[in-house]
Amino acid sequence: MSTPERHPRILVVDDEESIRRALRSILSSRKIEVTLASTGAEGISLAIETNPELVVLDLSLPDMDGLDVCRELRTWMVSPILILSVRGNEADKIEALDLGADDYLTKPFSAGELLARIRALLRRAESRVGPPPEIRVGELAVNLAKRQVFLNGQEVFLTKTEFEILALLVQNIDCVVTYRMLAERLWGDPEDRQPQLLRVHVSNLRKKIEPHPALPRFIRTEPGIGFRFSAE
Amino acid sequence: MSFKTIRNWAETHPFLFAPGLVAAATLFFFPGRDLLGKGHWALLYLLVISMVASVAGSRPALAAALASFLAWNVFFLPPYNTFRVDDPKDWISLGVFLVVGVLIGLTSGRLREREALAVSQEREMALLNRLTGRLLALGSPEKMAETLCAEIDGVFSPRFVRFHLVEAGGKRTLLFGTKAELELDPLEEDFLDWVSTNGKGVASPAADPSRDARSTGSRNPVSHSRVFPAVSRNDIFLPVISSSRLEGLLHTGEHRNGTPYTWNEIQLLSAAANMAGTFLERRRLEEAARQAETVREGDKLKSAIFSSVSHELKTPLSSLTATISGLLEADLAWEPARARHELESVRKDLDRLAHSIGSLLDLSRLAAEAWKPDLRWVEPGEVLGEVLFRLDRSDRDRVRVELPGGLPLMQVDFQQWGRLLMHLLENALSYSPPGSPVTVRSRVTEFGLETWIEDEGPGIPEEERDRVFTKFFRGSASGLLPGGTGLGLTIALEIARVHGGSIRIEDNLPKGTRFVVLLPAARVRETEA
Repeated sequence: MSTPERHPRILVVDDEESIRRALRSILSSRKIEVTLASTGAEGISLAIETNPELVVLDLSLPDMDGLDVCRELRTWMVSPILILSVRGNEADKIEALDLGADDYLTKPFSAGELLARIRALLRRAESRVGPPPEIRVGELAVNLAKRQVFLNGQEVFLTKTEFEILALLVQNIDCVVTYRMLAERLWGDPEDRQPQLLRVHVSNLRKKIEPHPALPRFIRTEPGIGFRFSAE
Repeated sequence: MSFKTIRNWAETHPFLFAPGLVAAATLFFFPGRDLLGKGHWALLYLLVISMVASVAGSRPALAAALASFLAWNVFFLPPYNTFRVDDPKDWISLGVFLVVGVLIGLTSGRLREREALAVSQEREMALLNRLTGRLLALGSPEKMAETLCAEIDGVFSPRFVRFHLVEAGGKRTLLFGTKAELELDPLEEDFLDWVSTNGKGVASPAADPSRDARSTGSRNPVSHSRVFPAVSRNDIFLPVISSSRLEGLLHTGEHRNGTPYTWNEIQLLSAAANMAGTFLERRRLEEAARQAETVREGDKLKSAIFSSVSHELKTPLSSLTATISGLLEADLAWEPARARHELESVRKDLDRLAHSIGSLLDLSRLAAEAWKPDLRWVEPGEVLGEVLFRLDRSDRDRVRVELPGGLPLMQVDFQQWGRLLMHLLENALSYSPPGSPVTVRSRVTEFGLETWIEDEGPGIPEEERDRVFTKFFRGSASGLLPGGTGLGLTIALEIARVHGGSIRIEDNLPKGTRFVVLLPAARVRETEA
């Protein structure tokens, strides 16, 4: 999965030394260049200096609020931001995602989860430059240019809304897609979040593309936040 | 105007009613004066006297007898329109009429008074009975005050009733009041203060209490004028007293018709107030007992947590320390396969640690009663899918999911409901033979949505079924198994409860246990088309 020619640069902002050490060991053993910052201010200045391809940002920092760091970085940086947070702090997660963070990971997490998120975010950032016309996930194929969907070679007919949802999900494969992102795509208005209405469309979509709609495998629910298309 | 309102008016204004009725009868009789003999009219007047007696009692009947005597004399005994009587025999008739009229009035009036007394006593007994019954069943002081006020309102028809609660420090709060919109009485606070300090009631009874004062002693209410001279009122202030202290104050307004309360009525109100006092005291004592019980439970829980924590956290910690220090020993050559094997067991220990810490966090939430579900409509499979995703590969392969299509939506807290399923699944997976299947099913019943988690383990004996949900209880089959905090099922049940649901245990025939989680129908909704 990794791209051996180019070594991505990742900035880790976390105040706990043990987490920084663990992340450095996990990432650098996979040929990733890691820069470490222990405070928000240090994180911002290192981001300016090194222009990383991804930032891993802990929300609880000693000197400033992680949300403020996120806001500050987003004023100029386009690289993805991965938030680290503790369980149950949903409101913070949603706010961070609204402020421009790209995904989140709940502590404690395994190396596998962390790497999967980082890869998905880097892949997405890359594909934004030249998005592929067709995306394949297992037995599912989505042709974005022709607006066609195939399951096991059989064409599946979706409504316009269902297709837009699926398209946004597969373009962000393995990354969280918030209600806000969906609302913006469907209705052009990010503030017009209608989780209930979106759930109905997603439910219908699942019935058409999931092998077992009662136990969804592709479209997974991120409670209170949105959905995630899982390629696993 | 119905007969009843006339009767009520007659009862409340007896001395207007008695002559009034006689006058009305006279007007009615007058045009037919020559149709009957003079003696017949006397008989009809006796009828009028009996009517007054039966409605208004003996004293108004005497007045009616006197009025009839005069009316018969003036209008029906010649010469008319004068007290003079020509025929000397009529004097005898008049005398007999007066005596008979008075006797009828007295006798039937007394009968009526006895009946009224019996009725009011019955009413009072019924009130006390009802109050006793209701106060036993009631929970909160507010409800008690409301019931008490409603009963008093129904029986005595006062202008208003107010119940003030008095706290230990003497602070007073109005707990309940009928006709609360009444303008505040400028003297009410003063009377309430006086009653609070003196522990005596204030009332101005209609009947003289001195006759049977000795039976009630110093608890007798004093009259308004003795508290504030120059004040004359008909309302009643009563202290609500228990065996230990002043619990509250009962303020009953005067009768709606303005008549003063009788001594008996005041006694009855006092009895009701005392009952309320006993209720409040009993509730306070129960509350104290419950708190003591909670503290004791808390102590038991603390020691159980302590032993569970030391076991569940120390065991993986010591094995971690041993494994890692073993790997760090200088003389060990790092053989990759062995190192990998060791690290695998390190990961397992860490999982176990994380799991125990998670359960303890759940438990502290449980103890703090901080399970406030964040309810959202979700599909059953969404939650289950997330839970399965979190399981180990080997465990996940053992779980069979049989969810029918078209299941309704559930209104649950996604995370919490997931933890509930996780605890039940882990329980089923660890208490059944390795490799044996664990099946999850769902079905809709009239009570709501049921989720079944079935294993093929040894089953849970009937007598252990209630106890498996208690904290730190570990079933007889658990002796074989390492780990486990004994908290999983407790937490699962608590989550089900805060969602209004329940968990029951059934036999999974031919072998094993079935946990049935019920989410009530109110939290279930058919999916939109």
